[in-house]
Amino acid sequence: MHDFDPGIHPYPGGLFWTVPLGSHSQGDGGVRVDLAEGKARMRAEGLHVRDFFNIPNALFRFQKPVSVRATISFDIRWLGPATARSAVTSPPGSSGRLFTSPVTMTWRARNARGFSFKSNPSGTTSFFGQLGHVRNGIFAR
Amino acid sequence: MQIFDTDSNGWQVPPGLLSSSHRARHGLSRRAFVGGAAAAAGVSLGGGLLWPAAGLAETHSTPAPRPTTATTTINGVDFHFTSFGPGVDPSSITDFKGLVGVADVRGHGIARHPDGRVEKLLFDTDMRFMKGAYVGRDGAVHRGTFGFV
Repeated sequence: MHDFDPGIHPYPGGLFWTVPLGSHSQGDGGVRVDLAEGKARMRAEGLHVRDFFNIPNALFRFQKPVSVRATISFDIRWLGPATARSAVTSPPGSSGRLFTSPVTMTWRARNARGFSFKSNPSGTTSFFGQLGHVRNGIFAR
Repeated sequence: MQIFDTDSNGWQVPPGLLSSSHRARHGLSRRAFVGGAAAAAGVSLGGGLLWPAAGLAETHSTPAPRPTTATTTINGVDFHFTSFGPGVDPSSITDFKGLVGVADVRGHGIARHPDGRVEKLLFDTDMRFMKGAYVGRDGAVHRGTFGFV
């Protein structure tokens, strides 16, 4: 098994599996969104992450080594149309509007041990795709 | 992003980390594990877990955002993480306003191992983006794009 993610910084109570995209992609941060059409695209090339091998180890870090260096590239497309519109009701303090949109993606990864993976574009299933706008923290209203 | 070996029962999970009933019900997709383990309070993840002395420090040129204030507790540890769903803010950062997206996609692909073996594996992803204005740890408002990977 393999689990590619950026880690938790600082561990364990810090930023969870979140990484800036702007410095790794185009000037738009690798993300373009057309909410009116219910479409979006998220891309990154050679994003530096870690391979934690499995999710329990990514959370509790019991293997040695905990992780190895890895890179991932992906191209995710939300295809529209927008359906199932809903207001943001949780967690408390967040607001906004969300809708569902079917999504597909291709991606590939490589770790420092020489393992590599490339997804089959024709074999993906959209379990849940969502787009919208939110406010939280000091921006909540 | 997670890659799994396949077997006749579907998603494979590492042995000894979760109860068999949990494995049978949920497999180990990222969302099922994080959400399911949190919901099933008291499920053992195994004793004798070894914790590293320090996190994996990395630096980025983008001013760091603050993690979401929402927490998910797994095995007694609070992680600043929220799941996603209708009406749920999927942001992994707080003091944020902007556009968000969630992609829970599953599929398969070709893996190449260091020893030259090639095999077909399943994958499961929980990918998200947050694009907009945020307050960084420096207290200033910035614009940025973040991926939850």
